[in-house]
Parts: sequence; structure tokens; C-alpha cells
Amino acid sequence: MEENEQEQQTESMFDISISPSVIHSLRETCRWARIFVYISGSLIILCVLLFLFGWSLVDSAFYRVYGELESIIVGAAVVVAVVYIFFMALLFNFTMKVKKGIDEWNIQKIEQGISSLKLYFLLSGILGALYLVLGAITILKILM
Amino acid sequence: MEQQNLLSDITDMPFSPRLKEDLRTAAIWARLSAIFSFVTTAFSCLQNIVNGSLFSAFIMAAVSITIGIYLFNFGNKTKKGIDHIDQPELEEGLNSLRVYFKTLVIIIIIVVSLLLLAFLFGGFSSTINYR
Repeated sequence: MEENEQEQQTESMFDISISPSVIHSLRETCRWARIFVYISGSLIILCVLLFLFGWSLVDSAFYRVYGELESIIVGAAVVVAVVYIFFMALLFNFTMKVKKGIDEWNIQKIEQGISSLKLYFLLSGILGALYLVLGAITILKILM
Repeated sequence: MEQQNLLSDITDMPFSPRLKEDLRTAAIWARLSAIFSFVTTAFSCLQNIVNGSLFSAFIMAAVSITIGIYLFNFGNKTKKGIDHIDQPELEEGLNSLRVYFKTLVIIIIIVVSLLLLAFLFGGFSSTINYR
């Protein structure tokens, strides 16, 4: 039993750990990510408010530019806003959980936070790939 | 008791298997996102150059590449650090993530400030023209 514990301790000595430098980086990352969420969240809320209160102006301007495609463009804008808010929620969750986890020295909270960060980068990677594929299709269509 | 406190102070908390796996996956996807953003930036710059707007192409490339490099570094170094059990590499990777978010905040503040200035000066000049 004791030997087993000693083995585990020796293994963890050679494994990566949450060192003071890692803690400092994570804390600072959380701070900057939270500021980013606050600023982008405020901008999105401002855009939504402008959209809602200035709908009559936006409506006529959109109709002039896009004509019959107006409803599709508005629908796409709403989808983009929802996706963006979801992304910001994931990032906010990451910052709160990791900060709490470090303050309380609780590995489960840090795990939950990093899990949100994983989802954030996974979704942005998938969206980036989709954007590239759509761009490539458009270029191919233009060339053909 | 004091000895125990001292021990917990000098002994770092080890990464749990779940934490390692999640951080590794995050790093892989961050690196992919950075590569996608490099390719997208290259296409957009080409389009801008073809349209004749060299200045906007240069600004866009500079901003996107700066952000992308930090994201790529985070992905690359963190993955290497976890795979090769290399603590300094992991620390550098996480530091790149910190710089990535810091750069994003600085850029977003600059863009919002420029937009606000344009809005204010636009409003001001239109008021003068109206009078």
C-alpha cells in the first residue's frame, strides 16, 4: 500500500503540474477573456437594441439593398447573433470556473472550466472549416 | 501542521487525466482554428489587393496574423507540453493563450474607439453642414 503511494508520488513528480507559472497564466487568461466577453457582449446587446428600436429604418435600408432576400439576411443575422452569444457564454463559463477553481484549489472546477474552453475552440474550429469550405465553393462557382 | 502547510505550498497540484485530455483537445482545435484563420486571411487579402485596397489588406493581414500566431503557439506548445511531459513548454503555451486574449481585447478596444470617433465626428460634421 505504502509502496503504491510512493510510486504514485514519484510518477506525479515527473508529470506536468499546475505550477505557480501555470496558475498565473490561467488567472491572467481568465481576466482578459472576461474583459473580452464584457466588451463583445455589450457590443452585441447594442446591436440587438439598435436593430429592435431602429427596425423601421433598418427594414427600408435592407429592402433597398437586398430586395426579396431581406428575410434570409435578417434570419442569418439572428443565427449569427445567437451563435456568438453561445460562444461568449462558453468563454464566460471558462473564466468563472477556472478562477473559482484556482481560488478554492478545486481541480473539478478547473476541469469544468477547461472543458468549456475545449468546446469553445472545437466549435470555432468547426465554424472556421465550414467558412473555408463555403468560400472554396463560392470561388469554384465563380471560376466555372 | 505547519510542515503540512509548507508541503502543500511547495508541492504543485498534478494535472488530472481529464484535465490533460480536455486541454490537449482544446490545443488541437485552437491550432486548427489558427490555420483556418491564416488561410481565410490570405484569401481576403488577395481579394482586397485585387480590388485595389492595399492599405486595408495590410492592416487586416497584420491583425489576423498577430492574433493567429498566438493562438497557433498556444495550440502547438500546449499539445507538445502535454504529450512530452514538458512543463516549460506547457507554461509557454498557456502564456500564449493569455497574450492571445490580451491582444484580442486591445484590438477590440482600438476598433470600438475608432468607430466611436468616426460616429462622433460624422455626427459633428453633419450638424455643421446642416447649419
